Parts: sequence; structure tokens; C-alpha cells
Amino acid sequence: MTKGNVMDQANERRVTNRPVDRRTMLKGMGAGALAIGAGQVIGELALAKPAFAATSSTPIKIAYISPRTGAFADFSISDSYVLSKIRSSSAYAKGVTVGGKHYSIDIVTADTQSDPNRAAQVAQQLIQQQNVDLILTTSTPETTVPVATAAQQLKTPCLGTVCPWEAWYAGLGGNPGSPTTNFSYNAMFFFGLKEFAGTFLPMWKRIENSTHAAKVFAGMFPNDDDGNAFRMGFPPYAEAAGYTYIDGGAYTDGTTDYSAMIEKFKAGGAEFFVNCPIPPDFNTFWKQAVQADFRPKLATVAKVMLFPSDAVALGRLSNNIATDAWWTPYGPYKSSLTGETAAKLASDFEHSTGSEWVDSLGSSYSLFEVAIEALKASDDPHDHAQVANNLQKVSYSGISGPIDFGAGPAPGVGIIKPVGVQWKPGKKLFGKKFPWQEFVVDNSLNKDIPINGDLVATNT
Amino acid sequence: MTTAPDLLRPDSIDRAQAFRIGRSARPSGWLIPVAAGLVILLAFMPALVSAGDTSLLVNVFILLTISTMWNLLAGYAGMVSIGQQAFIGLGAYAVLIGAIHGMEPFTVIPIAAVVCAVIALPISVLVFRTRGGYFAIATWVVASTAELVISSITSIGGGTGRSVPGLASLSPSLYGHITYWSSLAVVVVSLAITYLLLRSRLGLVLAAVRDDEDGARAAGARVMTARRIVFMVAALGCGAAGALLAVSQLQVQPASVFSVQFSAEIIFVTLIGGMGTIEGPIIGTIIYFALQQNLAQHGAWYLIIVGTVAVVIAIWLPRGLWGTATRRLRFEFFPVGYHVLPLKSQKKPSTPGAGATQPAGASDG
Repeated sequence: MTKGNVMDQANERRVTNRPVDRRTMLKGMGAGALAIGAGQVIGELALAKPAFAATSSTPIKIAYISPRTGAFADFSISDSYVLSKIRSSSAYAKGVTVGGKHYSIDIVTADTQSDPNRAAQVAQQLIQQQNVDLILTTSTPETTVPVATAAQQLKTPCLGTVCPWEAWYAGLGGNPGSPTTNFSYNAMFFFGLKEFAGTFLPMWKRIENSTHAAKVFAGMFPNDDDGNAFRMGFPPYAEAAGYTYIDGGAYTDGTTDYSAMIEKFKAGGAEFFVNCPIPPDFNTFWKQAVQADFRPKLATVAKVMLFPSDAVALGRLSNNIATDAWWTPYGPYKSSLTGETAAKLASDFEHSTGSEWVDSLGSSYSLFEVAIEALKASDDPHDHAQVANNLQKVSYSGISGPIDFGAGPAPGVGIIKPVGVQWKPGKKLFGKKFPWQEFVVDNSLNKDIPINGDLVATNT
Repeated sequence: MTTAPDLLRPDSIDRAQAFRIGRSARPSGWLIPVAAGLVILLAFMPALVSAGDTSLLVNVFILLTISTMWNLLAGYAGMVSIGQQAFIGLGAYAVLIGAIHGMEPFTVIPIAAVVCAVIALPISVLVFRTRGGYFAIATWVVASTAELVISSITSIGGGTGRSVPGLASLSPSLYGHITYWSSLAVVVVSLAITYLLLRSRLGLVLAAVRDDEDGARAAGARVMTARRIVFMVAALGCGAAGALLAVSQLQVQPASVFSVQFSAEIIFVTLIGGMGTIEGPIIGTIIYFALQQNLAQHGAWYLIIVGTVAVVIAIWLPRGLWGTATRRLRFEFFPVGYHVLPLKSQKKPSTPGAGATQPAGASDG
């Protein structure tokens, strides 16, 4: 190619392509500036925080990291409400006395966009830019693990929840099989595969007795954090109880055709079904299962059907699907911050938002309760090593019931006891009737929670 | 390069009297010391700003590196890929595998980059059989395949992923500083490679291929070789960025390092900054992070605003911010194309079009 050609081409284009004229460009720039300007105004309005009582000490800064948008947004549906409740509690509104000194508390929140990369980024920035003293994080290993990893590296106390402890522990680099490593800046409360089995297996047993179902179960575990923890941890408990396991295989999240897996379950004569997929995958799987006439006597699912929106999405196909509930409004538990009961927390939520209560109300609320317990046990709230150490020693009773971080299966893990629930058409509970509601059908692990529904086979 | 007119074409002799061919309408020699000064200033950043700001800059540099590489592919070589996350993920896993085998994670970064470039060679044989939209989908398929293969290897964590060992002994500040300097080095080298590549003979071939592939072939340009080199360089840069991602987040999970979200971010910053200009991704990245830092806490509103900005710029400024500005200013920080310029001695020519400069690198596509 010669230089002349380049010149010709260049000149030709100049003639045929009218460049963007000045007016058009100014219009575009104006619109862009307007959009950015509007964003900043919205930003400043939303940033305005209630003024705290002036204190001489540096305020304690607590970060709350959760997936507010994206695939796990359902987990954070109660966040705004819980945060407003927490901010109005006396400990958070007026501050706390730590080591004889009064401190006000500042809560900053961050959204992970349900993206582990973003979760790690916001955690690092909150620690290094905002100098937070304590991080609270919730919902799925995709949120809690990257946040906990950043906190561990940057030596900042971090408390997580709503994630099987095995997935959390393995994500940090530990071995859940022999949990000896102490990730000294991290603590979490939830439960693990032992409690999942302790909730699901009694329900299987009862259905087996009433329907004479075969002792064969199907496992649908994806190749992800939760799925691999379940594949390792769940079948041994069920097999010890005499059930035969049919493994659906480590499929990839987002799979849209489950026919081969369903055929395998049918061929094996599976009468019970257990899984831990991401919510959209269960929706797909369950519809295909019905079409292919795979009708297990009892489906006990994990990670999905946790929220009313999941049940509404499946409609009548969600009838009598069983899952675990880590929190319900039915327990005798009270807030350690205000003394308010679990039922009051849920009914206030329903009245103020018009939405049905969700399990995450209790777990998110308890994060802030535990934070106060750990801070009060310290001499200096800004001493990260000390607060982290106290976090791992908290033993208290709050809106999620008693939690003892010193007595868990791994260092820094506190266990809460779930109950078995089934989705059924809703009844009037706190004033409004919702289409689908979780009823407690099995309380083998936690007798504090009363049974308020009958365990019924998912498919007869 | 000579500026001799084609003597066989009388009209070009005519023009040669009014024009010269040059890199830039304005002298740009002063830019080199300025750029060097800027890099030195950035190198001293950890002493000047908080650790939080440097950790933010690490993310800025990672995004800038991958979007510069994508821009090289799509903006200069006309290969619109939505599968660069394949190399980001492979780079991250190279660091993880190295660290598991006892290597210092930071020293694995250059190795990870080279590994990705080598892997890109056989991949290019496959995906180069496709064009345009099919090429985009093919690269995405490659990225998904890489993710599936990696997530089926249980020794590196399978679908669960693993945390990167070997860094727990570093103090938070030392770890932060080394991460920052590594990312600065990666982004400076990436920009330098891109700039020099585009100023080389290869850059000219790329411009020709993008404007008219058949014409370029007919003129004797080695189209496939040029494309392959660019594809491998892009893999090199993305692999280095992925390696940085692994050391900066200390957690490598297939679903997150092979996330197609990277492609969305890359395309956003390149389009709003200006595709086919080196400056475009720089400006786009700055805008992206400015929006993120100011608005990210507003959840869905942030995403709506980011989307609106993209739509507004795509409709009213299809050349992006820098692409539009450079045509007005007749100025580039990184002059890589050739321009038809008025002769130095001459005043502004009176004929319409005579004063116009058309960057040879500007794309109409």
C-alpha cells in the first residue's frame, strides 16, 4: 500500500462522512453532564447521615457488605429495614461505652452487586480508605468468602453469616475435614452440613413411614462453592441413616437442560430429593422434573426457596417443597439490643414494607448484636486484633437465639439451629395474607420453635 | 517513512504541494518527559495517598490494562472479542497454580502473562476461522470452555476456587505496596507495547486491514500474521491483568475470574472513552471509576446511571469522548496514525477540506 492511497482514502472520507457538527456535540455533552450532575445530587442526598452526638473519641466505624443488586438481591430484601431498626436502637443511635470511654457508631454500607470481584474490592476499600473497625457481611459464599479473605489479609475483624460454615472455611483456605486453622480476624455464625442433615433427614423419615417410600435419594449439587461443600458433606449423613445416594453429577451453574440428570434420578428410583443450586436453576430443574414425571415424595432443598419471591415464581409447583429456615418469627427470641421480640421484628417489617417476612431479617439483625457484644468486651474498639479475638469468644442470646462462637465446629464459628419448613398457601399472620408462606413442619434441631404446619409429601 | 507523492498520479502531486504526511498536527515531543514524570509520580503514590486509594488504583490499572488490550483487538485490528475473560481467568489461575507449588505469587505475574500469550496461539487458529459477530461468540465460547475445564480440576479447587497461598506473611502495607507497583508496571508496559506496536509497520497493516481487508490483502499485507500477533499481545496483557487480580483479591474462583462481566466493563470504558484511540480506554476507565466511587452505594440507581451514560454517549458521541475531542483538537497524546497535514510554511489553506486532518487510525465502523 502506498502513501497516496492513504491520502486518497482519508480525503474521500472527509467528504462523504459529515463529521459530528458542533451543535450536536454540545447537545451530547450537555446531556452527559446533566446525567453526571443528577447522579451527584442524588448521591449527596443519599449520603446525608443523621448527625451523631458529638464525642471526643473517634467514632467506631462498622461496614455492612451485602448483595443489594444482582442474582442474590433477594437475600438483601430486608436490608434497609434492618439498618433503620439498628440505627434507631440505643446502642447504635447513642453509642456505646468501651473500656470506660464513650464512642458513637457509624455504619457504612456497600453493595457487592452479587459479584465476588466487587465484594473483594469494596471490602478492601472500606478497610483501607474508610478505616472501618469491623466488617459485617452476609449471604452466600460468593459474598462472605471474598470479604473475609480481604479482612484476613488486611487484619480487620470480620463477621459473616448466611453461608454454610464449611464453604466459608474452605474458601478462606481451611480444611473443613480437620478444622484446626484459626483465621484469627474472622468469625461467622450459621450452620453446616450436619445441621442440614439434622433438619432434612427427620422429615424424610416421617414421610418414609407414612408413604413407605424407598430409601433412595437424589442429589443435585452444582460445581460451585456451596455445591461442592454439599457433595462432600451431605451424602455421608444420609448414607449412615440407610439411604442410597444417586449423584446427579457436578453440573455448571446456569445449566438449562436437566433431562439427563432427571432420567438418572428416575432410573434409580429416587424418592427423596436434596439440592443446593442457584435459584434460577432450581426453577428450571423443577419444571423439567414435573414434565418428565420425576415426582419425589419429598423435596428438601437448600439455597433456594428461601424467599417468598422464589415460591411465587414457581407458583403451585412450590406447594410442599421443604427447606431449612435459619430464622422465623415464631421463636421466643428477643433482640439483645432493644428486647424486641422476633414476632415484632417480622410484623413491623410486614407493616412498614408491605412485603412478607424473610429469614434474613434475623441473621442480618444478629450481625449487629454480635458486633456490640464483641466491642463491649474490648478495651479499645480500634484495636483490631483484640476486637477480632473477642468476636471469636462471643456467647450471647439475641434475635436468632443463643450463639456461642467458642463452641462451634471450627475456630470462630457459631452454630444456630435451623428448623424444617414447607411452602404452603399463606394464612393471615401479621395482618396481610401472602400467596405463599413457610410453615414450620419439623423442629428436631430446635425445640424452641413451635411447629405450625403438617409435614405433607411434596408429591403423592 | 517518506512523504514522496505518487508520481504516477498527477492529482497526488498536486496535493503534495499543499500537504505533508506526519504523525501529529502539533509537536508532541514534550509528551515523553511528561509521561515519564507522570509514571514517576504514580510510582511514589503509596507515599502520598492512603492505602485505600492505592488499592483503588490497582483496580483502575487492571481495568485499564484489559480495556487497552481489547481496544487493540477491536479498535485497531477489528476483532470484536467478548471472550478476553478467558485470558484474565487463565492468568489468575497461573498465579494460583504457581503459588500452590511454592512460587512467590508476584514473580508469577510475568510468567502468567507469557503463558496466556502462548495459549492464545492455538486458540487463534480456532477462532480466526470466524468473522465479526461469529468471532465475538467464538471467543465467548472459548472463555466458557476455559472456565469449564478449570472448574473440573479439583486439585486447584474445582468450582469452589481456592485462596492464593504464600502472602499471609507480608504486612498489610508491604503487600499493598507491592501489589500497587506490580499493577503500575503492568499498565505502563501494556500501554507502551500498544503504542510502539501501533507505530510500527504492523500498526499500518492493522489500519489497512480494519478499513478494507480485501484491499490490504491485495496490497500484500500479511493479514493473518498481523491479527495473530495482536491476539497474542492482547492475551499477554489480559493474562497479566488476571494475575494481578489474583494477587490483589487473594481468592481465585472460576465463576468470578472468568466472568463475562469483564467484557461488559471493557466495552463500556472503551466505547465511552473512544474506540480506536489509546487515550479512549484511559478516559473511559477514569469516568467508570468516578461514577463507581460516587454512586455505587445507591445499588440499582448506580447501574441505571451507568447504563444511561453508555446510551447517551453511544447515540450522541459514537466516537466516544476522546474520539470526538481529538477530531476537534487535532491533538493526540499517543500519535500512532498518519495524518494529512498542511505544509508547515503554509497558512491555513482556503479550500474546504484542505485543512481537515483525518487520523488514519480513526474508524468509521
